[in-house]
Amino acid sequence: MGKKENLVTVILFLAVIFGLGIAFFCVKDRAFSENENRYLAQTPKLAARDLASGVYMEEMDGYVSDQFVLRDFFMGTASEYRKLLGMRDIEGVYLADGGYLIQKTESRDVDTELVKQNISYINKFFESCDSVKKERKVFMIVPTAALVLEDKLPAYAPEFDQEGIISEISAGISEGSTLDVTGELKAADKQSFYKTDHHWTTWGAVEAYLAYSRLYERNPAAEEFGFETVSTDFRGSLYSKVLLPDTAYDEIVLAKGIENIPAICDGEGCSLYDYGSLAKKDKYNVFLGGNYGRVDIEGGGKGTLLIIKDSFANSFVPFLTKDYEKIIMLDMRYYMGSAKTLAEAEGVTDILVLYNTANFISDKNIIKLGL
Amino acid sequence: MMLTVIVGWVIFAAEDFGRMGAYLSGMFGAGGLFGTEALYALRKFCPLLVFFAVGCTDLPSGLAGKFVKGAKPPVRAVVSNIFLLAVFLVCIGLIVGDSYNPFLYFRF
Repeated sequence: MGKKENLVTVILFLAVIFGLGIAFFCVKDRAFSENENRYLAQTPKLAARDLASGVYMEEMDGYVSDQFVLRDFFMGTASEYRKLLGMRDIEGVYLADGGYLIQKTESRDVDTELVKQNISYINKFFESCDSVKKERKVFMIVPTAALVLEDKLPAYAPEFDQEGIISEISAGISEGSTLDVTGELKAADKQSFYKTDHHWTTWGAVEAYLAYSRLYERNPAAEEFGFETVSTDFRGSLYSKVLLPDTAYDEIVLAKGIENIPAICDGEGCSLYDYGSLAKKDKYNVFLGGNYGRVDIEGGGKGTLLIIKDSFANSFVPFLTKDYEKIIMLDMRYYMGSAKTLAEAEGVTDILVLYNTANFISDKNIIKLGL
Repeated sequence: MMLTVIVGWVIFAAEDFGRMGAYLSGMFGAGGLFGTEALYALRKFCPLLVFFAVGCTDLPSGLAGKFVKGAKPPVRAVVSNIFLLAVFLVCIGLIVGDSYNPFLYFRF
């Protein structure tokens, strides 16, 4: 290779390095990543104390990483490279069979002490709501796709012992009943989890609803819900982590047979289905428009249901609207009040605690149920 | 020689003596030689290790030489630069996206 060829290479490298460097300063900082559905780190403030403790450098790390020019392109390229090298999990997501992206939760992500505590917080909460009958207090445990679709995972996948945790939960809840919907989700003939998102599909949610209804000796027919596809180009949370260009597109199905009832989300007007979300990246937000501390819904049935939940309940709650007169949903990540006081004040007749296992094993907000 | 380097890296990277001790003893077999996690990690990184091992030999440059044999210097320059650029972009991608920070030096 002659000197001239080397010169070209040197110029190319310098162009990339300086080009990216200059672009980094020229391009305005992005505040929010549509792709990842989170706020991006902004310029860290320089304070002598932070510099000494290393916090400033960590923040600078995060800032440069988040605001990197063409970040999605670079991450997609890196993922493609890893995939070509036969890696079946990238950035905490398995590249599973059938084009499925499945969330990875390792044994070491499980805080066994926290799990025990969370189980006891929920049990104590059930106990403290003594105006509600014991048979009307239910803890629905929703497994992750890694358990329901375990046959699609790469061999020896280091998943946590989910069945063990579910058994532990079932054994630990003595003041109410537990409902493990793993069986129903596995047996469903329609796709129960999205291929590109960690949430369950509307099909998965309806299977869980049917199981919940059976507990109450109700037997609704799934057909009356009038399912319709409202989106065919959904690429969810797991896609955002790997950004592989040939990732499949998911469909979002809504139960159009259920009226789009208006609701109150943290004091503001909202509705069961937020169609505006379908135009944005995180289309799962079509269900209620996202997660709020408190959501109040007026239904067409009898009784008042209190739901303590994570985001999985959002696509589940529409099915309950004709069973109850009032539904109150609390997300303990954002709700700052006392759930017990609210239950008493609102004359709650039924309580449903709904958590996905991956959230449950790491949730530090369930403790607030004790307030 | 490599053994010294590999053990040396642990001393360099470990945040305290406790962690260093645990890591080193794990490296030498404490806690079992083969677990499913180890098998999984082996399976995951095996192609990468082979890729790197091959890269350490002159097999790739030999193959590249045969590939561009007979082509004029400008063509060779274009091909080699495209290749180098692609490698560089992948490297940037791996650093940008990786939640694990490879820049140990930042931590000092």
